Amino acid sequence: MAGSKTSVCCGVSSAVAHAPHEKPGYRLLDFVVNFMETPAGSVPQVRTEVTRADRRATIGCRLGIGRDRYRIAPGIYATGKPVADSPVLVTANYKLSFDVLRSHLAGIHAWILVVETNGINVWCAAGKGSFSADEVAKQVVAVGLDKLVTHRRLILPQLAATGVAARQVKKQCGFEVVWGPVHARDIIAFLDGGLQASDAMRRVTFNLAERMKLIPVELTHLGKTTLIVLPALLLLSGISPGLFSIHAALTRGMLAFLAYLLAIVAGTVLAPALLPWLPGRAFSIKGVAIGMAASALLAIRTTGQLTKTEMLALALFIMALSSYLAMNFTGSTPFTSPTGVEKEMRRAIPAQAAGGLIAAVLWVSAGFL
Amino acid sequence: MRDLRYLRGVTTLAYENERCIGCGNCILVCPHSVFARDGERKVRLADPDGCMECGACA
Repeated sequence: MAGSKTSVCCGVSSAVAHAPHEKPGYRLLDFVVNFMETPAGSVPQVRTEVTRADRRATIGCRLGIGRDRYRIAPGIYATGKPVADSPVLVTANYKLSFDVLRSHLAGIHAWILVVETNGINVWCAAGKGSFSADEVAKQVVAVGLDKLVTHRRLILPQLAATGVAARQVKKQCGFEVVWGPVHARDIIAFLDGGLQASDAMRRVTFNLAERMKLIPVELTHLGKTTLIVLPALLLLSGISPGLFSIHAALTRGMLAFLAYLLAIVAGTVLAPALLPWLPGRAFSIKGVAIGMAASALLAIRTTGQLTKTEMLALALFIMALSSYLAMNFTGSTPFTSPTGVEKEMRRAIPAQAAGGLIAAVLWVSAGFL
Repeated sequence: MRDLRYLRGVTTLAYENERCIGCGNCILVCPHSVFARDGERKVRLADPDGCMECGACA
C-alpha cells in the first residue's frame, strides 16, 4: 500500500461515507431506491429488479428457513414515478408476494398498497381472514390514499376475493375494488387491456414447476419425524429370539430405513411431481400407486437380502407411508376442497394406520422365522 | 387445471337462484371457472366438481 493516498489505519475515505436517505436508528431496505415527496408524505420508490439477496431469501423460504417472519412493513410504496391518476395495486406483506409483484412492474408507474397479513401470501391470508375488507380499508385510510390519487379505484389480486368483500371496501373507505389477474405476471397485460383480464388470467394453474417449488419445504418438515423414526426402526429390527440383537438392529434396521427413505421420495417428491399422471383422484390412492413402484424398486435392489415376509412388510410400510405423505400434499394444492380432503382422510387414515401396523407385526415376526 | 381433478360430488357449493342478482362477480373471481352465464340475469354451476371451496364467490 506504499504510495497509496489513503492511509490504511484510517480506512478508505469516501467509498462508504454517505448513503442517501440514511437516518439514525433505521436501516434502508435494499429494494428501496429513493423516496418521493407526496401530499400523503414520503413514499419509498422500489426497484423492479429482484437482487441476488432477494433470490437467496426466496430459496430460504422454499426450504422453510425464515419463512415465518418474511414480511415487510404495510403501507404505500411506488414503482417508477406514479402520479395522481396512476393505478393502485394492493398486495400482502409477505416479502415473497411483494417481490413477485414488483418484479413484474418494470416500466410501470404505480402505487403499491401493502396490507398487513402477518407475512402470509395473498391467497392463504384471504382464506384465513387477515387479507380482508377491514384491513384494506384500514390501510387506505392510514396512508391517506385519497390525498395521493384522484381516482377511487383499487386493483386487488383475484385470489384476495376469498377474504375481501368488495362492497365492504367501498362502504368503508369509498374505494371501488377491481379484481386483477391471479398472477402478477399478467398485471401489465391487465393494465394495458383497460383493466380486463382474459379467462386464462383468471384461472389458477398447478404445472410441474409450480408443484416442484413446494417440495423442499415438505421435505424439511420431515426432519424431526426422521429423528424419531430412525431409532424406532432400529429398535423394531433388533427384536430377536435372543431378546435383542444389535447385529439385526443394524442390518435389518438399515433396510427398514432405506424403505422409509423410498417412501419419502415416493410420497413427498414423486407423488406431487407426477400428480396428473398417477391413477386415482384421491391423493392417498396416488400415494399407494407410486409406493408400489418404490416397493418394486426395493425388491429388485435387495434381491437375496430379504425373506418374503420381510419384503411384504417393507412393501406395506412403503405404501402406507407414501399414501399418507401424498395425502398431506392436499394441503398445498390450489384445487383440493376442504370437504373432499375430509372425506378422503376419514377413509384413508384408518387404512394407512392398519397397513403400518401390519407391516410392523410382519417385520418383527420375520425376525423370529 | 383440466388434468388435475379432485373427488367428485363432494363440494358444499350451492347456487341460490332466487337470491342471485346476476352481477357476474362470481364468474369473475372463481379461479376454476365453476360458474357460467345463464341468460342475461342469472348464472349456473357449469362445473361444480371443479370447486375447491375457496369462498371467493360467496
